[in-house]
Formats: sequence, structure tokens, C-alpha cells
Amino acid sequence: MTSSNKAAAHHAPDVKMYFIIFGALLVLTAATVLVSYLELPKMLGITIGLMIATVKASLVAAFFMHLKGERTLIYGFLGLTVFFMAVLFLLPITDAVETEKNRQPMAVGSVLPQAAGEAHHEEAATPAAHEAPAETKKPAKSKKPAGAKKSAH
Amino acid sequence: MSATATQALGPSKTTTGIPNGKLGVWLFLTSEVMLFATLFTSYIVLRMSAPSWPRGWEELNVPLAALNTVILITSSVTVVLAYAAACERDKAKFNAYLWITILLACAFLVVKSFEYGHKFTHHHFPSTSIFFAVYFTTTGLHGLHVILGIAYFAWLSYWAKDNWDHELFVGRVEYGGLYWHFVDIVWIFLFPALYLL
Repeated sequence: MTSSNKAAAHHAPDVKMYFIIFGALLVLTAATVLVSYLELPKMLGITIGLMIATVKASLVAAFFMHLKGERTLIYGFLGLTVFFMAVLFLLPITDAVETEKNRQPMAVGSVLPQAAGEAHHEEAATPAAHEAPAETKKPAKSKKPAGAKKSAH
Repeated sequence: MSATATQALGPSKTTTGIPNGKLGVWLFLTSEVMLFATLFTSYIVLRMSAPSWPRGWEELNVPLAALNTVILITSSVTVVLAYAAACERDKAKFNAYLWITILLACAFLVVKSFEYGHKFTHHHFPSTSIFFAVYFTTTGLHGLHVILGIAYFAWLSYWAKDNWDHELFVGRVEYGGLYWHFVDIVWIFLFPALYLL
């Protein structure tokens, strides 16, 4: 009575498959270390490294954690988790990309002293603030505490 | 009385078709995923906003970390083999695999402590740089999980002695394994993220 219950509740182990996955994981570990020695371009290296890690994690989850053949309810939980994890990853990344974009006008702004030189009387910082107040807001904020620190010393 | 107590806890009382213990462990693991995801997000944000970031292999010991990766992956295999032995009712095999798992987990911590010790003697502390702050926070939390895994498996081997025929026995082996594989997966991501990229 209970044995049939157990068979339904727990996954039948497949020892041969465990060893095959073990071999695959070792090969992929070697691969990820070797790829890092190739000194690929940064973004390509990161993409390949994370792809290999994802494949390894999927193998562990599918075969060792028996997700392969698991109930749909658990897939549902994991799907939700992956979704919110993606949100958690992507929101700050989009923010960082935005800041990166805002940094470029700042770089143009730093050339502005030339224009300031033409204006003679104005200080370098003021025209920059006039030209792009929105863009300079953030970097200016980050600079202030550094200045404050210096004066405190 | 004990029969009703086990029945209340047992795998039969479920409306989802999934044993309650397994459902609970999976829910716990999803919360753990989010916990580590926040750390990974912090890492991404800090690294993207840093003016420069050291390459992991220049600051950290890649061969030691690769060795630790192999150790953890092997321990994942031995814990799933312990589960297989529990299903096959092979007590000696189960104990052997469980204790190999515990030893491998301890080996991981020993290697990790060598790494930490090496960093400390070179005056690399969490306060040294953002890179080392990220390194110590993520690997430290992961290390705590390894310690918790060792404690659970040690308890399991003690508990299994008198409860080999317990209704929940196979489940407790399986759920401990689920947790352990999760700890393995975290390391699978930490290793390239910190050391190789």
C-alpha cells in the first residue's frame, strides 16, 4: 500500500544517467576554465561563460534534482521565480545603461570649457549646467560628496 | 498515537499530488534563488558602475576554485547515489555515499579556507575593494549554505540509524539532496562570475 504511494511520490533513480551527467559536468567545467584562458573579447567571454554555467545548472536541475518528469505545479513555481529573477536582473541593468547614456553628454560637456573660453567671463561649470541640466544632474550629485569630503579633511 | 502522528506528517496527505515536504523544499529553494539573485544583481550593478574592475583570475586562485567546483559536482553525484541506495534499501551503500558527501563538503570548506587565509595574509579583506566585498559576501553566504548542508547530512545519517523503515526516510534523503544540488548550482554560477569573467 505504502510502496505504491512511495513510487508515485519519489522519482525512480537512474544511476547510469547520473554518471553520464557527472561526465558532462566535468567536461563543461574544463571547457569554461579553458575558454577563460583564450582571452576572448569581454562581452563574448561573459556570454560564453554564463551560457556554459546555465547548461551545467540545467543538467543538475533536470537530472539530479529530477526536474525532468516533475509535476507541473513545481514548474509553475520555478517559472515565476525565473520571471522575477529576470526582472531583478534587468531593471538595474537598464538603469545602468541609462546612466551610461547620460554619461556621454557629460563627456561632451567636459569639452565645453572651449566654449567657455570664448565666453571669457563665465566659469567652465556654468555653461555645462545651462546646456544640459538634466544630464549633468546625476554626475554632479556624485561629485558633490567627494568635494565635501575633501573640504572636511 | 505515533501512527496518527506520522499520518499527519506523511506523504499521503496532499491535494497537489506532491509530497508536502518536497513542495516545501522547492518553495524554500525558490526563496533561496531570489536571495542569491539579489546578490548577483548587486554584483552586476556595482561592476557596471565601477570605473574599473579587476579580472577575477588576477586577484583570485582559479586552480583552487576549479578544484572546488569538481569537489562540489562530485558531492552532488554522491548525494544522488545515496538517494538511489536509499530507494534500493541498501543501507551500507547509503551510509557510504552520505559520508563521502559529507567529506567532500568538508573538503570544499578546507580549500575555501585556504583561499580565504591566503587573501587575509595578503591583506585582502571585504573592506579592501568593492571586488573583494562582492567576493567575500557571495562566497561567504555560499559557504554558510555548505555548512548547513553538512549539518543536515550529519543529522540524517544519525537519524537514519533507527529510522531506516520510517515512512518519511526516502523523502528526507531526497529533500536534502535537492538542497545540496541547489548549493552546487549557486557555485556553478559563482565560479565563472567571480573567477573567470
